[in-house]
Amino acid sequence: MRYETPLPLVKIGLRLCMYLLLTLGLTASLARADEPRLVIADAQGDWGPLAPWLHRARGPGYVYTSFVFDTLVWKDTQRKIRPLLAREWSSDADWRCHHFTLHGRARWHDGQPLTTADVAFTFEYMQQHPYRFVDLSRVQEVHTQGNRISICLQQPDRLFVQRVAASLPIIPQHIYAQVADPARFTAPEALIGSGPYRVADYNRAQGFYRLVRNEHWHPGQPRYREVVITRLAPQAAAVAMARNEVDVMSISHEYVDLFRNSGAEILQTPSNHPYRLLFNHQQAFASIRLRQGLAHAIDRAQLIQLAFNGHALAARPAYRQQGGLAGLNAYPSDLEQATALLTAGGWQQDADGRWLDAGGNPVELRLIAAPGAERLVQVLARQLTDFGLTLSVRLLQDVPLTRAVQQQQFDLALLSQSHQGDPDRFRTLLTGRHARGDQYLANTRLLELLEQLRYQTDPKQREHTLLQAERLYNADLPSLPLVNPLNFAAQKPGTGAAFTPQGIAMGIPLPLNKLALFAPETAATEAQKAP
Amino acid sequence: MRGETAQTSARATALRCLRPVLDNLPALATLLICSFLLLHSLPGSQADALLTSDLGVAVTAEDHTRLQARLGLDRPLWQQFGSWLGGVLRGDLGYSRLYAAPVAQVLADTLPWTLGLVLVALPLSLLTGALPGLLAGMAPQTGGAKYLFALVTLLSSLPGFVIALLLLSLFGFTLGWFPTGGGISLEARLSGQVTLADLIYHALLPLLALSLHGSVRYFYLAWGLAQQISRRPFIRYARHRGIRGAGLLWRWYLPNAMPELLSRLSSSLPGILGATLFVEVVFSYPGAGALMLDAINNRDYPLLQGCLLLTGGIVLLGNSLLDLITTILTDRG
Repeated sequence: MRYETPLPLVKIGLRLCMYLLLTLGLTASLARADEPRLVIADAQGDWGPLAPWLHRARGPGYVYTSFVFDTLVWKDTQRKIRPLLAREWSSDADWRCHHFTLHGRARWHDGQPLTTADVAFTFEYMQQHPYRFVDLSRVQEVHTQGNRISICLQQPDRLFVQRVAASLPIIPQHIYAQVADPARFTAPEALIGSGPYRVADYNRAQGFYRLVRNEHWHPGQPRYREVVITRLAPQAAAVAMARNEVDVMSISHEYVDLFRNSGAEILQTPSNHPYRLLFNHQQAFASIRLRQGLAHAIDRAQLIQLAFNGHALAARPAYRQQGGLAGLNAYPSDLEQATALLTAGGWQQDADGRWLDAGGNPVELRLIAAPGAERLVQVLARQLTDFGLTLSVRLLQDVPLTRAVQQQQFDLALLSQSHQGDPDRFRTLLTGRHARGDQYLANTRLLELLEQLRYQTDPKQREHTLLQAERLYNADLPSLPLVNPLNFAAQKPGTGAAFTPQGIAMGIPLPLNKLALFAPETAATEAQKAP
Repeated sequence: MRGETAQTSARATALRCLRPVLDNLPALATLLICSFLLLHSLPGSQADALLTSDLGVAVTAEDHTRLQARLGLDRPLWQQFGSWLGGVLRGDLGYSRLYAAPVAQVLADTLPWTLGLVLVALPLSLLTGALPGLLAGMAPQTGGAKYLFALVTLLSSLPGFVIALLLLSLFGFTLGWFPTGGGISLEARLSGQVTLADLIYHALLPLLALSLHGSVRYFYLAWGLAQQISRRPFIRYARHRGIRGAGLLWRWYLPNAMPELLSRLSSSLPGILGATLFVEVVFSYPGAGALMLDAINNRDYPLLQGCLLLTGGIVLLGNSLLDLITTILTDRG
């Protein structure tokens, strides 16, 4: 009797094993794709209702609102523009008209279909009711044809898709058409968007949001069934993260070790929100030599070590924070050079080492800064006083600080603004059209270059112009970028948070990019791990 | 004849009851006018706050002017105050641009939290101050009384928010016995089921800070009263009868000191309420404190005026009620 392997049994066994493996694999992948809840801890918690005109201008209000409202396209964590409401897009050769073809599948949270009429309405409505994050002043006309929409500008804009289409939340016409003042429209319908989540609960006093999944989000089912954003102190959040109650939080460098000890994965990226020292170039620092001399008196390495415990980078002494230093003066700490330049600028040192101005009076400088920069101010003030300068320091809240800058009530101002995203920000910051800008109009060549940059479309030409402008800025030094702090976030491993190079949308340096967090392919996204 | 007498008596009672309210109204009016003027004298306006953003588009002078006009900030101050007051009289406290909601709604969200703290802290501070004060005042020469007096003197030099910071640092961060902030736990927020125990647990440290802060004045008052009472004959007789300690406190000192102590409750209400606003900020407690700070920093004039009206109203109402109770008790002899 010959014993034969019972082939059908083997086959059945093998199939069973394969089935089990597949089931397990599928379950695992479903577990990734369908997780119950994402909890975002936020030290403040309340950033206003999550609608375009209602969320707060500062902080993560825009990013949280992006969970509810989709844009035509969106920047992913690799800095690539990805389809969102639009499945494809193109621009004319002269970069004046830009065309988008919508997904037919997209719907509003109330079930109404999202059409090109909504997109056209959004452009028209936002021109009448400006939304502070997107500049539509150069949009000339909007045409729709079937599923395609074309937006034509007054002048060519090569960055329109990145600057506008990837930042402008599309709003529903059937709701907003009747709204005269969107900043006062707080009915529940104001929160109806087409994004991956809809607002189910908002508690202002508790700083608490509960967002539930939009099951019909056209890119696919969002990863988490619900997203909770809740006010929590970092210390409490670290404990909660260790208990698996909190998934992600943006943190400052003081809390990195605390969260690391709680088992969190730490993400980091340069903030590109450098602290820059603005000189009052119209009064005390009218001389370029004086500005350059003072720049050499500052030891930036010491600022980084003492004020940030090493959690910062020396800022590139130009607008952009990425790139080399070719053609730029790094203004290294050099007291001899500083003394020579200040002397050439008309100041002199007395026998005690105190600096006197051209009239022989002691130099007394007014330094203003925001309270958040207190440690940096302390170290900087110490360096300058050790160098023989007399300083009076004032820490001012946002509004008085802005007012003091605008009214020239300072000699030195320590400010921090985003230096990423829209390259036109260089022009607005420099010309003072930004509330805390440099207001530097003395170098007409520099202004010409930045104006040219608005309309140039060739990448090589743009790079050349921008570099030229940066060199002029670096030589004239209306302000000196000092330190580029690092941004940190703590997350439970596998959460999917990741920083976006050059920031989310128009440059927001937060790790909460919705494509990384919620898109079905999230599991494949690689997060930036801190060393 | 009897009817007329009854009517006259009722009118007199009503007038007496209304008098405390009328007495306190000028104080509220002064508070509102002064705060309005002070707030508007700060550098910058609400338009600056609304237009200040790190990432927003460039702002032109025209944008600024347009927003100033839309907010009504281009009008003379007296007109702005007048229209705000007119709104209040019509029951409209205005609109908070910062919170994108009517001021009344924003206040309604936070009022229960602040009121809860104040209403519990007020009697608690009386108890925690008066009882040790009476005890120490009954035997001021003992070592314990001297140490207690020194401790309270030290405490009296600390503002409420410093006490709150010390308590938070010790019991919240170092020992981890109490939550470091918020009004309810994360679990309760996530589940939506808030328990009384959870509310109390989160309110304990803020209440302790407020009670310690508020208790100081009662301690000194009770200390002085106890020494006055000690000199009275019935205390000497009681001591001769061998009554000591708690018996003496409960049966003789406390009943004699209580009317004086209770009459000071109304005057300590503004102090407790003021301290509550700071303590709330320290503990990230969801009350009116953080709201006021936000309103000041962002020059949200309607919201701040609303907060001041609310807190001033609480003080006015509380004081009037307590004065009324005192009046009624006085009438009854």
